Amino acid sequence: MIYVKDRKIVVPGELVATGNFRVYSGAEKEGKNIYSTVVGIVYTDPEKKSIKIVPLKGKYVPRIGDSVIGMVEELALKKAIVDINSPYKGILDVRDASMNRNAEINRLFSVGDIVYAKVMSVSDSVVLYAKPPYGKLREGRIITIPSTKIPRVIGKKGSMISLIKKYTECRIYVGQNGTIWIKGKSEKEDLAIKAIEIINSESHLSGLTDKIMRLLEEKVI
Amino acid sequence: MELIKDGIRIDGRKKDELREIKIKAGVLKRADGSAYVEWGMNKVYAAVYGPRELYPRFLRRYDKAILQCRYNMASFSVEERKRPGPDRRSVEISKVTRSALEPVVLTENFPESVINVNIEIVQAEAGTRCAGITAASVALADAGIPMRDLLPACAAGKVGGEIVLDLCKEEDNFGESDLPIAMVPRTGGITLLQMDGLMTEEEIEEALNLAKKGCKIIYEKQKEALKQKYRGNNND
Repeated sequence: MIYVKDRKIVVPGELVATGNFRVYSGAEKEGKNIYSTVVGIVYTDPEKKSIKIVPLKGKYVPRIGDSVIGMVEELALKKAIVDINSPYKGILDVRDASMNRNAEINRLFSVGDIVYAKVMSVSDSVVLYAKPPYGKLREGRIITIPSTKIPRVIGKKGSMISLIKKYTECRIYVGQNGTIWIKGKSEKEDLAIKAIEIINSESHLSGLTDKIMRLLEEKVI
Repeated sequence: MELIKDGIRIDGRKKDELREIKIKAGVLKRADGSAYVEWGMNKVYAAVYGPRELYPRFLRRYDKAILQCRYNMASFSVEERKRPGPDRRSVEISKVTRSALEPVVLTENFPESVINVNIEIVQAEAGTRCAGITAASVALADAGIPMRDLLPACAAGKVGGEIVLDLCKEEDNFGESDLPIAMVPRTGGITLLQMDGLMTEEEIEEALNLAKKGCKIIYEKQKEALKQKYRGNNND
């Protein structure tokens, strides 16, 4: 029995459903009852008997395999400390940063550089990896949105992001931590940023891909 | 002075009536989450930062985030200027606020980090700790921090020999007893329970039940405030 309509906003403590459901995120079970734990949008699937609540806000918690974009905050002897917009700092070792075995960290990076990296481990500290195709991002523009909305920016199997890339002809890297790097022609960058801002503010509405498609088509001609 | 006459209190309320309450979520842009509560003449801001890195390192807990609460009254919040800075009273309220919030926040999701809760009393009129906790839990939810439930808080007390809900300033100063509580609505669990003055066992029981009723009303307002924030761009 589901008490909340699909795509409705719930707040912590709200009874979402009773019975045998699979809970993916944003909710907890107490006996048969399933209660929401965040302010978020409910996605229910009565056929698969699954419930997912996507938070509208929240800090990024690193997970193994995520691609993130961060800023070099500090250089140590053989590693760089990277701010990845999360409660935890990313550690990037020289050996994981360059194909050159004799590379030195202060030749590779300086404080303030933007790095596109992969999360390798989260057990002790957040270990990053930045060998190609990852690495330093030069020039371009950066915008930050809540990390919970990144899946909407990417879309199903990357449909949304490839749409934006196609129309704006920009190079775009999306970090799971909510940071997005864009590089292209100035006015095309503006268009891409506008599209992402719309996705951010209307992430809980359906038909978003069509809306973004219309926006991009109008501006592109 | 008569505080209660024919069931009508000094400010015109009935025995089981709350003062007027307004709650707004997401009022401060720099904070990760925030809330503003107007409760009678109380005006309270709560700002939440985090989870974020915790320093000094030795305070870190490997299994959960810690909560740091700070309750502060502005020097102009009361009639006679309050000397700014922490004092015995505000340190105590910071502590009970933390212990009230800890059971509802899922701190185990963010080990080794800290969640800062700042409660600022801009204007005070009895019952600021309840207003503070009410605001803080809305601000925590607004920050996207996972919680078991929202946490409404409300006081009941004994005034002029009768048990009344949500004491105002005169009742607090000249009444017999004051009993603030914070309740987890889902389970009915109580995470804050204080009392000053004297009441018999039966009276405490009665006051507790009354305060729980008050908490339920405030809970609805908290939910409404959080949903209101996103209603603007929602199509229902």
